[in-house]
Amino acid sequence: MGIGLFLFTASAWSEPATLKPLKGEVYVQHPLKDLWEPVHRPQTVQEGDRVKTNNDSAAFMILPDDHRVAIGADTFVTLERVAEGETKLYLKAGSVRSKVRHLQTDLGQYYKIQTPTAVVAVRGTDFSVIQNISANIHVFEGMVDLSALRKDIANTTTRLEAGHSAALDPSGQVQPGPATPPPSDPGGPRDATMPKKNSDGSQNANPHGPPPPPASGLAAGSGGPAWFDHPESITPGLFKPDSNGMTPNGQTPTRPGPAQPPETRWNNTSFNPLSGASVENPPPSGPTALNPYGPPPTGNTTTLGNPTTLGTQALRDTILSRNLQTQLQGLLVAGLYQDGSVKLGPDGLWHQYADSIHLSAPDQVEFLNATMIANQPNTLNYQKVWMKYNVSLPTTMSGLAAATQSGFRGDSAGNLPSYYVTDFTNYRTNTVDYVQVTGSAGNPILDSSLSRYITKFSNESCVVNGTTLYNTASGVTTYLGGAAPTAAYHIGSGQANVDYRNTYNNGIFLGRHVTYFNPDVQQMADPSMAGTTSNSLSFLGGSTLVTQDTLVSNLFTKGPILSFASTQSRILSGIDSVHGSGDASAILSGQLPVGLPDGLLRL
Amino acid sequence: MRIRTVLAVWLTALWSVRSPLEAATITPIAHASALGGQYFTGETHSNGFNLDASVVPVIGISPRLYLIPIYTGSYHETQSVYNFLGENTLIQKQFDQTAVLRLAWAASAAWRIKPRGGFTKEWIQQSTDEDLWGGLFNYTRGFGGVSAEHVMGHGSLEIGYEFGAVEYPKYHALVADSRLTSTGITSSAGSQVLDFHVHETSLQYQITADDKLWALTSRFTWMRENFLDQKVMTQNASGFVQDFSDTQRVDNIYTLSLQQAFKTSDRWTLSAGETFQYYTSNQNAFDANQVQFTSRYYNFVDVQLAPSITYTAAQALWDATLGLSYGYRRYNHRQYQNTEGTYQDALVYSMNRGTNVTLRYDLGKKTGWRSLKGVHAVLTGNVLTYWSNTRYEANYPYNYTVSSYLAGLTWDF
Repeated sequence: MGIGLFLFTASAWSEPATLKPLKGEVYVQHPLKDLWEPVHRPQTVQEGDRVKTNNDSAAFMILPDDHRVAIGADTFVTLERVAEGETKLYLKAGSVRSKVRHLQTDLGQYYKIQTPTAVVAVRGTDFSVIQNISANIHVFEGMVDLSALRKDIANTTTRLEAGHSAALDPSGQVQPGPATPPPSDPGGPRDATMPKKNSDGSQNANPHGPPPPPASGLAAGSGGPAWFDHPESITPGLFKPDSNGMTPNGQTPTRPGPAQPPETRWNNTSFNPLSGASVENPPPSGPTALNPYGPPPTGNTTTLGNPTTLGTQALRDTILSRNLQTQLQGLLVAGLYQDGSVKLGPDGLWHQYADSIHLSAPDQVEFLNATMIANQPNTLNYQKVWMKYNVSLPTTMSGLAAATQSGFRGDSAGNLPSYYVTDFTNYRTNTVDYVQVTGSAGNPILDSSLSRYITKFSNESCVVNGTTLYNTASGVTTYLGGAAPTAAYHIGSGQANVDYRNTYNNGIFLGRHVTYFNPDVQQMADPSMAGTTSNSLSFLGGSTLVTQDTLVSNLFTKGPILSFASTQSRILSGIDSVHGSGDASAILSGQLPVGLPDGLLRL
Repeated sequence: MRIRTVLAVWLTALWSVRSPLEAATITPIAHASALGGQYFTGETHSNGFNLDASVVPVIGISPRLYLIPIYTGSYHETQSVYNFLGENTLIQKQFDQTAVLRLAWAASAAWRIKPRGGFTKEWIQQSTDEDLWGGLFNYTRGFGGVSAEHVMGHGSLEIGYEFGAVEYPKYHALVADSRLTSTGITSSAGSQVLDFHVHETSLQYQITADDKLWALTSRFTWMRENFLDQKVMTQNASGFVQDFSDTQRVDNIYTLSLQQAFKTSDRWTLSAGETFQYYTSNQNAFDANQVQFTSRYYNFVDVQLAPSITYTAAQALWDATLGLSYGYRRYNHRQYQNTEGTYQDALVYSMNRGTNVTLRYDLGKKTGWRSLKGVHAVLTGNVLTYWSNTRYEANYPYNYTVSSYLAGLTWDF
């Protein structure tokens, strides 16, 4: 409930002002809007609004606390702070004259006009500020404190009293002007040419005593009705200390330049606060949009300034910080793709992969190859391969690749492999069903029909879910059902439902289906993908192929055992012993790989 | 009687809460956009629409104290071309929410203290049959920090610190699955490898000219990411066998961003941005397929340049922006791979080049309807090209061009 009240409570310290056009062309621009709206009748203006007048134009404002402001021609002024007890105008160019009322400076209330070079702080007065090259100030009533914006002299304050003028040039130096007392000033002319420091450290343009008492309500220097109660009486001369056309510092007045173009907030037209820059996101690591809402609030008051600026700055900071975080988190995730931990599978789904190699002894190597559809733990399939070689394995990548490539079959030139497997275990599972093939006492035997060495194991077995399909002991093999299985392609329903299977006498079968995919184009690979280079790893198109290897059996209770692996991974784990582009083309034409650990080539 | 007493106490307490809040002011800021279009990559494309919104009700407690709640949210069906995950990771849908509570307090005329806290939650659907709420890389990020801003004339210097905790609840490294570690081939690997705590220290300086015709911003950020469950990969004496140490991964990212804008006339605004990033990590990598161990796998230096020019028509009825981007990244230790995946001696580098054209038309000004005030019609197109000396793209695309166009409406309040 408190929050509800809180949200809908009206402002108690920020109030609107009233802008009344008097003459010519008067415009107002609201925060975050580019449009300068013409002002034809009195209207409300808010903190953050900007007011602009053209040549031969004038306007009048009534601010909170009943402060009155006359705005001359060719003027550009921003309402930086408009609140009860707190008024700050930024006069970029032109002239304004202020009648300040009800200011309790002891309570921290203030009325200030800032120009590009100066800050004029009021202590209850009627004064004008004309900003051209210099800031020209004339005090008609009361007094003001004048200070430069230049950092090195900003702490020096010049007190200017009624009837006195001063100019603050672009370098920040105060140039006292001649005293031109208004008719209503009973204090007479004062010497403002020898400012001296007050006890509080400020310089006083009037060294002769206390400030004069407040003047009457007559318009200083005009002799007519009080301008702040009769804005219709405002004339261009209202802003000047005298009628001789001289500025307070005695210089020939410089005509304020042409009306400034409407200020444009940085990149406001293209800034998308949701992305941090243009409508389309920029490169997350790239440069971000420039502050589109101008500088942070400035000034020497202990306030935070325009809430709109504050809010947009906070939003911008939030978005830019988030953009950087998003970029870095994107890099983190991209690393998983780059190292192959996550990949788009040939089924169009995202798969997680885990490939691991471990040397259990100098002549023994273990591989783990696992895959799982992302976020579906029950789809985990993996295989582990352990192989023992006749000699210690090479410790280089190319050496290891060559060793595992020749583990079960030699090249087509009939050379005796230097590295061949003597013992192995291949275990594949979908976490419920499994196929385990083991072998020992392996030796390469020359197959004259193939002109290749084939590794034969004296002891070998293939077990599916605890059922031994075949077992070889000392070269003697026994089969499930008492006889060797029949091997044939099995064509099921569906275009791709083909597997090569061994069917035993009792009807038990174990089949294997291998499909090579080109993930780049999301389709099955064709023989043209076979490489022609001498690098054996590229024979199957190298990196571009992904293999979906499926085992099927009527002993399985959960379903097929699947695996997805890159060609390299399969070769390294001894599954595809490819020794030439002819082998690769044959495999891609539908023939099965010639590796042994799957246990299906034991015919 | 007892109820009346309780009620009286409650009302008294409520009144005491209301009192300071009665003076509060609410300055609402809101942005929204609805854009639809297409995203093209290779031979595929996606259609969809994007919705973005942000609301910032700035609550003035006093002239010295503001409470700034921030909400930003988006729903995207069409991706930005600037997608670091690459072509293969075309995202189907993306939905994110960020809520932040900031406080701004003017401690003195020169110092502003700005504490903040909030969280971000993002849902990402990658494949068509994936559940948006169960996306693999959905994450939550909670954060809190404080900044101190020193106001100096027309500029300001701000130093800040923020702590964040990022959690990816859906992603578990497969290699750490107990069904695999039980084989003995993998061991000691972390599971929540993406979760980390981040310490962000920043220093920012910005200045705007008196006449607001130019503005400069520079920001240096040091982010230290301490991973909670990602152990550093090592190699054993044999030179190609992976293992995991007891040390967790730690990344340090140093980013320097410079931004400049110059308003050269009523019509033309030039802006430019430069970002220099140095990414260091103690994490190594092992490629089991190629049996390649790379130390400090993630270290890189990156430079991005983004100049742009905006033309604003009379009365700001419409504007057009042409933005360009150029980038170069070089990995410090990662060797590039040829098409077969074989590692080469030279290090990986990548480059990017992008072009953006955006047209905006102010419907509010054109029609004069108050109901359309702040509403723009927007058309934007993007083309981005990446290329690299790495040609091995089985896992990740390094050389590709993507493009997109979006059209719709934006609204600023």
